[in-house]
Amino acid sequence: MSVCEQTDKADLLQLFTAKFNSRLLVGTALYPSPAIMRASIKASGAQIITLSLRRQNPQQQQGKVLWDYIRQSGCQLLPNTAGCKTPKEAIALAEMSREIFATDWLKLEIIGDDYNLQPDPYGLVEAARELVQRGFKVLPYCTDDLVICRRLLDVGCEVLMPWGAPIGTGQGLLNKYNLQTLRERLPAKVPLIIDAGIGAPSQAMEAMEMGFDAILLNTAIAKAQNPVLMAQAFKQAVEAGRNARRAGLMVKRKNASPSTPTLDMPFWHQQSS
Amino acid sequence: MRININGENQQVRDANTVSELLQQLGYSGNRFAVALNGEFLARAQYVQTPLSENDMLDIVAPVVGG
Repeated sequence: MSVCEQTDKADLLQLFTAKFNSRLLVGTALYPSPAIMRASIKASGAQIITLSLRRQNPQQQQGKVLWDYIRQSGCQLLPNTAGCKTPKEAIALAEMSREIFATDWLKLEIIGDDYNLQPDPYGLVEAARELVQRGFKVLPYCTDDLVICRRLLDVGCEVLMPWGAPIGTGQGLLNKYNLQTLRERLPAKVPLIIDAGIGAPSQAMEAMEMGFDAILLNTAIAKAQNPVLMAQAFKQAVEAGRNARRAGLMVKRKNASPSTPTLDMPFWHQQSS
Repeated sequence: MRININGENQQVRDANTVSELLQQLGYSGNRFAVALNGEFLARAQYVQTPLSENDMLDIVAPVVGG
């Protein structure tokens, strides 16, 4: 086995006690069709997928296709509490998710503003505390505020999912200073997943180069003209960014420095006699 | 009796328990979950949870999500 193969084998994403080869998590929404969703998820290599719960009457059968896919996908399911505005709503939806999906993993979302879908930091901490006590593995969708992230760790979250930009905007990493601060100031053992706002593979790669552990996205793949190809592009970008981080990026410098040896250069700087 | 089901006030045949009402509405299998008056109600509780006039029942099922 080569050195590279050995290194790659050791580089797994660990969330709680589970380990994953893929560092790309994807949503299941907004695809042109269930078939394209399935093909895109496969192309992304994702091993963790997000989904949700909504009101349904017994005559509606559209959920069956999704249900059948979920059961045979083999992916870790990550139900969300999208749309919830209070801890009470999120906790009730979390319990319903745990019963239906048979997992205690939860993407905790509590929306504090309808315009930019910004997480409500106070509600998030309150709900996270209660849900951790109830045995949930809480992955909170949060802002990039260092102190809020610390509070979430204090109440028992083991993984954090700060936003890159508001959901569905595709604006990438809007506040790199804050994001870099999270990576530098929070313990290295805490997995940080950039969730929301990623619009291009280059943005995902940059986040991975910055030291984030994984990327969660949906719209950028689902709304691409060719979602399957875009899923593949994100897979490659996340892997490339991760490899770059592990390899160690060079330090930027102001002045040029030749990469080709200058010693013994012919014709160069010859003294005229 | 009057029950609010998934946000709509509905007149339903009298049902003593959540289980009876779900049966009446045609819910079967395990592809749904229930909240009664905003609080999660575990599946095992359906048979022993009484219903009252104007109770609010939310019945949810899996959908795609991001």
